[in-house]
Amino acid sequence: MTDSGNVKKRKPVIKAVLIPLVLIFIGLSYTFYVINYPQDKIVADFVSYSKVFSLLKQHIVLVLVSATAAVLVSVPLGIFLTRPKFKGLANIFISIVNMGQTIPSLAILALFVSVLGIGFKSAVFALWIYSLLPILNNTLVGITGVDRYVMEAATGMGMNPVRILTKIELPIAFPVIMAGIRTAATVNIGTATLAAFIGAGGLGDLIIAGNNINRWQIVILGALLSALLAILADYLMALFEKA
Amino acid sequence: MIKFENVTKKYPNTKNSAVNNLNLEINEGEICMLVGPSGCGKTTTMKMVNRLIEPTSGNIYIDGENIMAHNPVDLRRNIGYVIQNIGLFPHMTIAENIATVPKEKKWDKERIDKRVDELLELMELNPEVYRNRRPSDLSGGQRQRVGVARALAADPPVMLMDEPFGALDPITRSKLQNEFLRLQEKIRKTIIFVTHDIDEAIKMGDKIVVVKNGKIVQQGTPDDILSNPADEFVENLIGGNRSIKRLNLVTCSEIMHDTFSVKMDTPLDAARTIMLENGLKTIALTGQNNKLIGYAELKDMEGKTGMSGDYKKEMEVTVDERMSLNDALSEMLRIGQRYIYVADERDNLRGWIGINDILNAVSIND
Repeated sequence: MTDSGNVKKRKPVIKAVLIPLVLIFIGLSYTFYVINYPQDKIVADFVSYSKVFSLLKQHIVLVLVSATAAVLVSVPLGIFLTRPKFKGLANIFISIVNMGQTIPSLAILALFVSVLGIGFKSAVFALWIYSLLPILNNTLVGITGVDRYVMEAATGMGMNPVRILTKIELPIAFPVIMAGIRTAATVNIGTATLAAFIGAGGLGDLIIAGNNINRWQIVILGALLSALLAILADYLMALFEKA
Repeated sequence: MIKFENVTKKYPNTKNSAVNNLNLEINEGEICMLVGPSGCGKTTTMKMVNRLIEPTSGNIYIDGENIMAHNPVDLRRNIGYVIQNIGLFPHMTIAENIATVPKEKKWDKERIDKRVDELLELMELNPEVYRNRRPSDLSGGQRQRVGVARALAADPPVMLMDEPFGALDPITRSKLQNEFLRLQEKIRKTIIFVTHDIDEAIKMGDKIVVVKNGKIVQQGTPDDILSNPADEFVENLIGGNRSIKRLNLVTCSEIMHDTFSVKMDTPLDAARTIMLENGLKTIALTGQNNKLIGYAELKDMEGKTGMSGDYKKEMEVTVDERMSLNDALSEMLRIGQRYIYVADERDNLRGWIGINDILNAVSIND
């Protein structure tokens, strides 16, 4: 009867560590397989541990920088737009960012190349634009979704607007905002493979190169690692959300 | 304590004022019921007291001070606020919910914890069990108890209650109303209580203010309103069965008779003597501290010996002394009995009421 809340938390610790380990193990095994049992000489020359890891690192940096920047912009913007004074602006912003979302990701990448040039900067900028909407949208939905009677009670009891934001609105909206960040990050990890097209590197290099030289082992290596990365990222964020 | 002076509220783009030149005084320790149909301005009137709605013109004073002189946030921390939808914070425990205003007032943790437990006990919720639960684990009635506890947390002198029991089922509602009245006897808050339910107003109110189209149609004690409705509107609001409604005005303790009782271990002879001397057919059996256990019937005792307790019959129904005659009468009708025993909150025997007492109590004033 008592304190059922405390008992639930303990068990998943093993699971929490196990799943990431399994994901890393799958990734390493396949990399090991491609390097040690290559299809042919071309694959053997192309792939090495250091190459795969530097591409993986590039990929992670691309995603981390763009997603973090998107969080830093979208969440405060979402908070700002849900303040009573600015309520009308929210829909306008959603439409603008929505329009950004309708442009194909490859086109966005290409567009920014003409402004920022080839490489890392353009890729990060494009991925950032792409991540803004899900986070902004979920921040708005999460905060406006707080029960209006909860808000009325909080106001009526004499909480000031800042306290209402930090103690009521954000904690209640947190799971929804996190869902937006998770969506953005996982989509971002997939989209980041396209960064290879504009010379920003990342796991997309493996997919494009593998495709160009027609070696399935390499294509699958790039695709598998980016998929595993997406699952891992989503899983870790879910863990963070519950903690 | 609370004074409305020519208060008017007109929303933009509306033809009529929601509240129109309202004057009202509410005394300290009084429950003032604002009653009227939806849209009559009663909620607007109430919400102007804690400045959730600002009056267009006029002044409101609490304890002689104009509320506009205070910062709304500070003002609200000294006014308890309970709403129909409760608005408990779903992400916080019950204890955290109740601690809201004390935390805003920066009480130290020890004092807050003590206050939370005290309030949970006051609301008949075991602190050990409920302290760390979430609002979603509670029933509607329990949630509203927590809502009331939360409003009382910093011991504000004034409470605003917006149909607090409106969303509950009739049984829970009646229970919470009774509990709240009992509580109010101890805490003596000045309360503005909004309701559309005239029965609730009659039962709960020291004063009833009937509101229509933003104006006060009539104000007075429940008895005044029932005896002399000011106009057809009030008459319709009360409905046709005024005498029956008056049943809600009188509590059992006001009309109950002292009763005879014997202990479980009183010899049968002694019990029988008391009954014969007083012409009783039944007698109540009590245990320690006058706690009611059951009753015995004279016909079972005829020619027997032993203890009174040997002939105990289970008491099916008693009424609480604070319950209204309406509750007592409906219990009597339900079990088909012409009398009923009255007990206090701890089940101690207090007296009895007969059906004729109820008839007399209701018809006196007409």
